Amino acid sequence: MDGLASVSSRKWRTGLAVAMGRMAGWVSRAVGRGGGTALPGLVVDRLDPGALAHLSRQLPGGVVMVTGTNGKTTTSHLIRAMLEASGWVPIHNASGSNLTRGILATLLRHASVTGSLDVPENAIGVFETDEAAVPRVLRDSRARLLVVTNLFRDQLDRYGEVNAIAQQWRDAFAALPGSHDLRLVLNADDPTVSALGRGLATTIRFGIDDPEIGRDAPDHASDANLCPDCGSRLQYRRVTYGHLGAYFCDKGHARPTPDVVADVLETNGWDGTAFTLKTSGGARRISLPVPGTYNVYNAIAGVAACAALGCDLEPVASAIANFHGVFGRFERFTIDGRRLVMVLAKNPVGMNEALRTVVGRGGSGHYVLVALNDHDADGRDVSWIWDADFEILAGQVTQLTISGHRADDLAVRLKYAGVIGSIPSSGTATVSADLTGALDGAVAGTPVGGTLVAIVTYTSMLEIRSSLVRRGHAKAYWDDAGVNTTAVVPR
Amino acid sequence: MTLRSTASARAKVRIGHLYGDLLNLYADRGNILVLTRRCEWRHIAVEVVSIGMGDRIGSGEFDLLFMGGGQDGDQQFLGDDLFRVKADGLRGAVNDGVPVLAVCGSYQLLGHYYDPGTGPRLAGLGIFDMHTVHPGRSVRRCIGDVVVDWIGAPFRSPRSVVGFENHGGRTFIGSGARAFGRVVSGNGNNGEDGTEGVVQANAIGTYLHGSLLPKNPHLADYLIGKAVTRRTGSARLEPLDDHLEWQAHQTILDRHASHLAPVAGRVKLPRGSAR
Repeated sequence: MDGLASVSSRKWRTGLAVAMGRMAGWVSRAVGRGGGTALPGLVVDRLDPGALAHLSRQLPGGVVMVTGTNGKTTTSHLIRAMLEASGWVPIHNASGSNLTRGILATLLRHASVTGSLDVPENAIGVFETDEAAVPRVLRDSRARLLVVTNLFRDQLDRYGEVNAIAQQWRDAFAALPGSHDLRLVLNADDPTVSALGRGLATTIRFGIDDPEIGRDAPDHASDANLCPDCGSRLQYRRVTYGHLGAYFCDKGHARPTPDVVADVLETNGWDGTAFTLKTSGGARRISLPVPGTYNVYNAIAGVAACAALGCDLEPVASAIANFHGVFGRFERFTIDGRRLVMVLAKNPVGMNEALRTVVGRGGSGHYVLVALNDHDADGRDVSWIWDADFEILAGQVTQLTISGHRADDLAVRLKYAGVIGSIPSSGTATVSADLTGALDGAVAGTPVGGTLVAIVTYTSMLEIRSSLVRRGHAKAYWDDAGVNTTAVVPR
Repeated sequence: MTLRSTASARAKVRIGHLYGDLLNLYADRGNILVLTRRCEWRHIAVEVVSIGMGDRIGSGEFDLLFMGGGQDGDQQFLGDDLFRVKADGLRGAVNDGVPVLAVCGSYQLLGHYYDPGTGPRLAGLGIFDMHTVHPGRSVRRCIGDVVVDWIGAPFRSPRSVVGFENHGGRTFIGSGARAFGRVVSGNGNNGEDGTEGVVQANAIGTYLHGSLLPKNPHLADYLIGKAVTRRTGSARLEPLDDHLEWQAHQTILDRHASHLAPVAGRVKLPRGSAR
């Protein structure tokens, strides 16, 4: 077949799929089935499996992929803000719908029914990508940059263990054509992630160097016990959190020196963290307005990605200083004179960091709601709560509200963690699977002027958020296409 | 004077946790935590000893042994140590009637062999009369909630045991082995013959995590009872307030086996902790 004919039939096929996908999106919205952040993409992918490659390869600036267990959404939002500040026009799956279908749906909004992408010349793809979708998206989009935040155990029923994911990615790298010029942006402090760049000269790494941060030993449920280079036991000089830190083994392998470094971290309660950013271009003090050590990692992951793209440091640093987080991640609301802080936590390491951030603010007598759901997007296996260190909350809580579809499991966990037993006689502990009712009760029990912290899994976060939106306590979160993502349960 | 206080006066139950730092994939810590807390709440002195690489299991040293599951690489890493250093002690303990709980990955390791489907069979310790075959990556893993009827449940104890399974390998028990339970809902050993787990003397191998013991306090107390008996000659465990535990158990029964008799009535929070 001659080249011209195949190109034009390719265009036609994608164009037709685009039209059908659009229609699916209209129907979905018209019947109130949510914002259509995934369905149109699903339709297009079914009708034309080549559409992802065809559309994404038309992006003039290429594609930056962001993956990892925790921090994908926040990091991709940071990179988007940094690139905008640097003069790019990012095409970004902002709602966190991060399977192939979500990425396709994002491209679809810029695609014409002739199968071409209608974007400015300085457009660049920023694709938050689910771990399992990495091989396909990488191959099809010919991404120029893959940013990996970390790898922790998460939804073992869906992904399998951490080493299996890393192996799938290595297989995907090996299968790329020689013409595909991919650079990796890796977390130097995560042994499994950092080892992905072994032997690749162009890899850029980021890490935290502050000796004052963290602990001596990895968290209980470490997923990086063995040296990725030689298989002997890993040891740590310092652990920032989870199994991230300054690791080494007896055979002389060790954490590589990162290219982008955060040092001298100074936490500022709910208001964020200040740190010294060190790159080849020098050092500067930066204030990140979102709390949590893991958000410092997300910020320097973004800096490293932008460095790889050749951005100037100035606009990138200002994007960090102006960053106000992503919905559901330390998002703050005011309800009837009380402050509600919502913290997403969906796996042991994320939960530990959320709990430490609550308690680390000092004082005791916190008002806390914890909610556990087991929908597909949360992971159906809730055993991970036994790997999380809920013991951190013992003696720290005055009012404890336990909710979600698996409230009963969570209640047992909090009992054995000594949290329920540690609540003073003036306090309360309640268990209720009804999340909206539980939230109302928790808010009512929090004194006016006080803070209620809601630590929630993914779908419980969406559930709380849409309830707050419905009652006017929060604005809906609108993404690029004017899609109300509060009503969407992805995957 | 009650048996309980006699026991607490001179007994210290020693729980050995095999490779706790490597085999911890499915929240196995939950099982250890439940065993220790339920001893402590009864004023039974208890000590958890981590049995790591190079440590031997001495005869009579432990009253209860626990093994969890790990990542494939971590399990291979300990293979040599398991055979050279642990095998004799572990076999001796099982023959001696020490209660043992082996979950998922370690359950497989204690059988005759594991056939990965691709490549050579991996030998197991052969303590349990069973073997495991992986049917290949194209065959669906066994993932989801499981309800089993516990065949050896003590008299007057609830018989249902609930948990979560996630395994690719299919396990088949030999004629010399008894199953731990009959599958009411879920896959169990292989999804074909209706068996779940294996029992040999007082050792239990099972695919169930969740963690297993938090939602099955009767099984936890069965193991504790065996352990205390070994240490003191007899044991009558003081009842605990298990409202929350049974509520969580019941939630799984309601989802998957609503025809089973309820294990406890609809429950309230323990007194003193809820208002």
